[in-house]
Amino acid sequence: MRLTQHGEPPARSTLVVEGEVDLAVADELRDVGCAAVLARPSDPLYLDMSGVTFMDSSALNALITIRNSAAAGVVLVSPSTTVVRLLQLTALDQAFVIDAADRP
Amino acid sequence: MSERIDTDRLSNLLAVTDTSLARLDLEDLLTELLDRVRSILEADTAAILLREDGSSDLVARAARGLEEEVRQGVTVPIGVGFAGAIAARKAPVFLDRVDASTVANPILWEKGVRVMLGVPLLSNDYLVGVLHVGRLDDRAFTADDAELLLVAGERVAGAAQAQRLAVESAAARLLERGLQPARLPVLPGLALAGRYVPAENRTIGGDWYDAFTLPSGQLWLVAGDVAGHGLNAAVVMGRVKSALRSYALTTGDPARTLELTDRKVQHFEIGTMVTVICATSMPPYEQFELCSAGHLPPVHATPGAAAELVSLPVGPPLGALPDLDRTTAFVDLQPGAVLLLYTDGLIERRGEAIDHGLERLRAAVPADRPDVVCRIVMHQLIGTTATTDDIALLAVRRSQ
Repeated sequence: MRLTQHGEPPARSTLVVEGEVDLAVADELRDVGCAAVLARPSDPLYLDMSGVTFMDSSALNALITIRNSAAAGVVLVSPSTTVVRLLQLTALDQAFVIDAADRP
Repeated sequence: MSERIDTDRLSNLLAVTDTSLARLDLEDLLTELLDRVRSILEADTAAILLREDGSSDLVARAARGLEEEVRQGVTVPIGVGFAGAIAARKAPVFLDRVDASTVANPILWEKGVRVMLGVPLLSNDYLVGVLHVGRLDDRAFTADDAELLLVAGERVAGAAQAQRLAVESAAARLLERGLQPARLPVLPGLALAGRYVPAENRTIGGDWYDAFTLPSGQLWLVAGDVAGHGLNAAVVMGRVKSALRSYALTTGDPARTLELTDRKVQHFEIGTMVTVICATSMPPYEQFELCSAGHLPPVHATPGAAAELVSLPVGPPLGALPDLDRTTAFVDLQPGAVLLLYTDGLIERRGEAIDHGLERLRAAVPADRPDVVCRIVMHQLIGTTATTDDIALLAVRRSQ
């Protein structure tokens, strides 16, 4: 997994997630994501998931933990098919704003 | 490495972890290592904080010159203070002023520590903990000191991980016996078989299956998966499994049982997510009522027909979103037909769409005896592949 963070205010707070997100790195995603939310609590966090090639249930848990810590919500930007399908199968697509068309 | 550092002393430092690992327990090993680090770096204090599995806190586990850190159970959140900053940045941190503005732990400045150096303990880039040293005088630590401390840190991280895996592996064997059903219900008209297979590296997961009957005669089948790994996930799994049984006993209703278990997880297991599916039925087991919380669809195989994935309304996993009403679906089971519940380790493969895995599973399930179903499914989907996730399977078949 690779995490790249950008977006100093006023640009939107974005975290780009790439590669395989599994239980070995899920805690890191959770910690970095929650820290990004904490740094700008009144802004939504944009998670660019276009480059995610694999996700497991630990990764989903990390996403939900980030989402539940974000009062302003989490937007999933261009999630890959892998991500979308897993969210559908677990009925977690309703927890996020999914911005399929929007590319940064 | 600097020529300034005595190579004998460095090899002495490194040797301890190689030769003593088998004999010393982790605490003794860490203490021994800290003594050597302290002497090589001419430091007055040295301490190791380890991250508890899955936690965002560092806990003092060994200290020299600062023994009260361990005695008082000093706990530092990642991101806070000196040790927390090293953990968050995963990089060495030098400190030339030790007071309340730079360090969260008052023991350090009360002790008179003036300068500090700390490095992250990393195992495959995963943060295991923090190792730091301090001096009571003003001689600053150098980049060479940091380099040596990083080498020592690699050894500590390796030892801590090895010990954690050894403990988990032993606990895994106990939990496998304790948490999976020792004996499945023996019922007229319905045969059952279950399998639990831990991941190849023996890391415990949070998967389980369960089958039990209530005093009313109602049969419950359950398969679930607590997200995460390690002892913590397994222990949470034990509690969730037990809570689900309790609510099943009091309500007899799968949707209500998952709603109540969800509330319990939301309230008492914060940060936990659990996918689970329940199927209930009364004798003669002609129909099953199913309720799914984010779980993968069961497979239904009827004699003389192609097996199918059961299409049912799925709610989010337990612990994910508050206050949900859950819905159920019904499946009719013909004589000789099979219903298979399983966890995601069975079908998830890196570099493959999850629908491919689901299709391979669907095509593999025969309308055969449940023990045969388990054997064939494991053979066709796992075969000789090394599994990275644990797997739970529960198959039932109506008598012909």
